[in-house]
Amino acid sequence: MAKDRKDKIVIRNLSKKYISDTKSLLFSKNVDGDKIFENNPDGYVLKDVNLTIKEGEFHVFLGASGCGKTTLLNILAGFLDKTEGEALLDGKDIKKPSPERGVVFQNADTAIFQWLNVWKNVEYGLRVQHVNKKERTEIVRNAIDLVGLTGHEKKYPNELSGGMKQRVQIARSIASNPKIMIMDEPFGALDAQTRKTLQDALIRIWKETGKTILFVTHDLQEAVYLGERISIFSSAPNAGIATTEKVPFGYPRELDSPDVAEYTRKVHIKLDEAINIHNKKENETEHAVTLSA
Amino acid sequence: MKDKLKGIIRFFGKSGIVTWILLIVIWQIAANVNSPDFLPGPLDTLKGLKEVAVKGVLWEDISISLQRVLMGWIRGALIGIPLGLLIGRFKVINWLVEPFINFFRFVPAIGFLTLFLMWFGVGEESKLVLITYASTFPIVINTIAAVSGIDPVKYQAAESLGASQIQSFFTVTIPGAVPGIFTGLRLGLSSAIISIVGAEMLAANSGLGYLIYTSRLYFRTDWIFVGIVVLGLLGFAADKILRKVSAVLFRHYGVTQQ
Repeated sequence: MAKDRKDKIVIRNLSKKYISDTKSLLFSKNVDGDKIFENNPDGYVLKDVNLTIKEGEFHVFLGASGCGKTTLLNILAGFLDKTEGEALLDGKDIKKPSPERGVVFQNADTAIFQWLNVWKNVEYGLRVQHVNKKERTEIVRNAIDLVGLTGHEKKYPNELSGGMKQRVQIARSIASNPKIMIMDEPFGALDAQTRKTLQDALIRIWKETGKTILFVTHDLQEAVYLGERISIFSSAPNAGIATTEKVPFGYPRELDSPDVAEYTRKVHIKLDEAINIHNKKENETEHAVTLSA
Repeated sequence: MKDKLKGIIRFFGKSGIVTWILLIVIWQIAANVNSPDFLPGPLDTLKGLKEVAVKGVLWEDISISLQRVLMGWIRGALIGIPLGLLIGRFKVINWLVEPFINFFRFVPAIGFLTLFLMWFGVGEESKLVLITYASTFPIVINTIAAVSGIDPVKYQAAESLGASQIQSFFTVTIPGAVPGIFTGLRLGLSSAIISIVGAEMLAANSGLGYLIYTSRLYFRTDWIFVGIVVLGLLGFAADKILRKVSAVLFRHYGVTQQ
């Protein structure tokens, strides 16, 4: 069924060097991601990444912490500049942040506006985009209903649980009707029970809205539970997508069922391999250095 | 019964009443072993207070000092808050202005008194400029800190929801910095009160500082104490009010200002 879907995100030969870009000369501290690259200006974080994400797809990036998957996500969100290659959304080059690419951040506490209540947080994007009040009210009500926060509209973030705050983030990004939702380990900080509930809620939201979702995680089980396709990352430096797997199960999935468990094991091996490719690479370089010496 | 007792103890402990009673008792004891010209006790001070209050000088001095403090402080806020927001948000302005701020923040306002007297005359203006100067720095510095303390993720979130840089300045920078700005306002106020007393001692013929300074001419140590106590009470009350206001305004920020 994926065949007749149109290409949503196309990434061709994308590379990212560890350089700090001078994008924000005027504004202080818009992007802190660049700071970590200053130490190693010549190396590549990401090297020759190629990927196509189809419209309406639930795509998962899986990789170890620090492997560069968040860097790729930041490039797709428009927070970081790429060094080489292409990153396209609907054929258009991605240059800067835009409401057509909604982002759900890892830490809801820092990402949502604590001075606005739930309703106003969700309404924020529509307000800055000058959507008129009548339309706004309807969109916000629907978005809040979609994530299951109806009745909590007047509450402020400090009155919400961690899971509810992530729901606010999801609703806030959906309200702008993005072409793709980019989610950076959004459930990583939640307890197991809440995580499961939100994963199920996300699958439901995805089915109801038909949104393209790009979901980053380092949690193998989460990747298998959620993704239609899983891109497994090798580790930085010179990180890339080692392999992209199509998950052969429909929804909802039972992680305990023998088929899914067996599949998870296979993905685990591939993940290990992806990390080992990197280790091998490192050994080879060391070897080369010894030889030349 | 036991809980009730605990409640009473907690109330007295928390409200600071115990501290006050203790302070007054120690003061009275110290006064008893000294001559009232050297150290007047709380009762003497109360008597002195009645005297200056009846004469009408006290109200005049309080109101003139308060007026100077408030006018200067408001001006300091009007300069300090926008300046701090701009310095905190825009790198280029930060580069330009920060060395200047870090130089002058270490020059106390009183150091400028004679200069301001020469520039702005002996009237009210020189005192207003002085208070403005004194209260601007804590406000600017705290505003800058508050703006830099805003998590970059908030700006990323705003931008990816379609906010322009100008919109994110008004919808993220300002509301995000407001609690820190309030801390700056509180510190600015105390700095204003400190400076006005010095200024009134050296170059004024009214105000609480003047009252304290001239009382020595009449050997009215009790009046000096009246001035000191009133100053303390004014500062205490002003700070309490600001804290209460910020506690109400910022109850959603996850920080209690108390």
